[in-house]
Amino acid sequence: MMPVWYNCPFVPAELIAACGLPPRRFDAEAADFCAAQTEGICFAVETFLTGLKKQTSPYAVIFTTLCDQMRRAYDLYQANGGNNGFLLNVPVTTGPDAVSLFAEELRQMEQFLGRLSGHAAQFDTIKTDAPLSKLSEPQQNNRAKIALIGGPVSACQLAALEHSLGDRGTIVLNAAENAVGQFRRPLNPQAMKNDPHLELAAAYLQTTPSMRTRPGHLFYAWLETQLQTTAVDGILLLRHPFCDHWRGVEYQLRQRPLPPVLAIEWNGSPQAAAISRLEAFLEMLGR
Amino acid sequence: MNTLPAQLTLSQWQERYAQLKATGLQEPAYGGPLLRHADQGDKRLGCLKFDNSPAALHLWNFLLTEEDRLRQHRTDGKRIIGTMKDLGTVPILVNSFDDMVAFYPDGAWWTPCLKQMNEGLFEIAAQRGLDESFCPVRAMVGAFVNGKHFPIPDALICSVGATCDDFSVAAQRVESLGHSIFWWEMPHRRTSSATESSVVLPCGFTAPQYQIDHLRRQLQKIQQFLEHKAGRTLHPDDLRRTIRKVNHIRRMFRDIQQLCFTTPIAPMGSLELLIAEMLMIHFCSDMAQTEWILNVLLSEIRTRINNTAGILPADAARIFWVNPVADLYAMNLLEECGGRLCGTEFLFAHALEPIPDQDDPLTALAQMALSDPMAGSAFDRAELIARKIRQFGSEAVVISRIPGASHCASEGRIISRWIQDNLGLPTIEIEVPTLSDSYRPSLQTRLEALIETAKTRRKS
Repeated sequence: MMPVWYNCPFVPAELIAACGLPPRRFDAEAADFCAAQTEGICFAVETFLTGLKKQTSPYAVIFTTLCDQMRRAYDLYQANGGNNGFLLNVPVTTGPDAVSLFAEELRQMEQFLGRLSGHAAQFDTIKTDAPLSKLSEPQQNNRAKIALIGGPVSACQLAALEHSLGDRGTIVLNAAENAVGQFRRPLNPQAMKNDPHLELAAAYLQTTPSMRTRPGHLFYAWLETQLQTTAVDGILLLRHPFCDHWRGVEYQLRQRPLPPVLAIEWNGSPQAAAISRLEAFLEMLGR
Repeated sequence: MNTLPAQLTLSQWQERYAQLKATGLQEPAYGGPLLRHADQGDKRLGCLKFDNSPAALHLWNFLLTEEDRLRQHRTDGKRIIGTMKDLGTVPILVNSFDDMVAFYPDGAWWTPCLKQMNEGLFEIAAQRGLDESFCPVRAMVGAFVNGKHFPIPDALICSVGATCDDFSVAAQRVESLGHSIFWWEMPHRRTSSATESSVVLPCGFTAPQYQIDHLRRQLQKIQQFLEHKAGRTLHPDDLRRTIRKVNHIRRMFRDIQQLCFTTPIAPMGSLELLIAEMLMIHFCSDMAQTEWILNVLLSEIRTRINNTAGILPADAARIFWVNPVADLYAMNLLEECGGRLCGTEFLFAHALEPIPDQDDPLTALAQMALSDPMAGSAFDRAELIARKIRQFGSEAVVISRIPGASHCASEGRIISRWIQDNLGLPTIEIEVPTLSDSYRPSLQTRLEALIETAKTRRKS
């Protein structure tokens, strides 16, 4: 079966699976970042395109419009001869009109997937329980408790960060862009029976936290709520070069009554400057 | 006074202005010598060359007095509505209310250029987290903070969704400063599938019907928002009347472009054509005066064409320009290098097209909004550019990148390659910063090389 790659938390993986295709969430490898060198193009976009190019067997891919750079990644993919691609329009507002629009987009996505798999989605195969809940690290005394935001943060980046934190800090809240799906509300079984596209749209659009949502205060309100339930000593914002959105968030975070914020721009491989900043941050937190 | 077309420096315009006044020049209330704007801070004017016609004088004076005009509107009791990002559609709704006037705070992106960066807007934006990694539209944030470049609007309406990241972040920063924003969702324009109902849009794009339906609902909510502000409902006939006026203005501007871009000898300079095009976004806060100015310009252009009098050499290379320039001087530089403007796509082609004559005016506006070149793919935009290139007979293409803009790095290379592959035209990409003086040697070299190539191709 042809795998379907995606890299956005607003892509309902269960819809891909319901169409009989295996969803594959993209996770950049350290080497992918070395290829990301184009001036002006976000490294998260470029690593995604690089990772797709490395695929040796047929695949399909879902791009989204969540940011302008990723929206245009679909253009770049097509310009380089990519096929079996679909651009999913993800609204950035969350009202009823936006949910209806997103539901229609999901119908289009289902049709696209159906053409690949040869059959329509079997919605009764979708489990409606909560998304995988990310367990917090067991709290360890003397370690600085860190909330991670930004990203998307690849596994190799996360490992490098955790290595750098060593025994002085631990990530207790992972709210990076590719990890926020865990906070989405469960699907409503009855609503799924009535109109699965609308229910998927409502659940994903209205309860997946994103700093791209407008009005923007919704994201900060969500983050503040999380920080009330998970006490942290500091916030680590990892952003990719040429990402305007997370760059814009940094200032906003500092204006709010939140724990100290460290923003690091990290292109994937451990960088001396980034690690030094992280160490200084831990020192400042008293670890 | 019968004077041949020419380009004048700001100081030369002083003498010209005195001559015109001595021979009885009549001006609108915002008239006066251009030099006064430079004395009041628009220092960049001292680096530019202007058309010597009274029409150009009126055009510049109209543009450079918008802040005064907005303040006068407020004094007169009108509500000022800041419309953001959609470039051309929402002002039509706003201007259908007698007691409202629309303007784009986005336009502040030119303020640092006009003021030669003496006004500090970029510094203020940087203090609020928007540094030079963002496009010059970040100046808007500075203007909201210091309140010196436009009156703070009574309400703000901003499109989001299929827009650039820079603007989305800058608008959010404006809201975080305490300025409430009515956000509306602009979908990414998608090609219809074979099973969908499809609509052909004014710019030649197509889109699925459900996107038009969505936008109609969004525009209806904007209308309700405005009605609430105005304290009265808007009759569809009021909107239809505004659309008719807008279409008249847009058709007049299309005539200007058609004449200027296709006449063998350029009757009007690139800079004035750029400024005239900018008026089309929100009519510089006065639709009636925009109509008057375009009439005067059109008359001047027709007279010059009838007299076979142009402002540039007859062999000037016919250049299609993609994206607006942060530094107005780039238009003069194009001409100094031997080129002339013969086609533009400044990111708001949808604001130049006549609005469809529909029974339902909101559906017509929804179609206009979805025609936004920025709302679709780079391939859509390349095809739009190609259609215009064929219409105007452009010989070469300049893709002018906007520093820091989220769309330029990927879009520019796609458009460039598409045009070279499909039209075989020489194309270059340049980046024009807010003040391009220190980049001038490099920009000049690249433009001259393009123009030389275009002229060489004429012989083959």
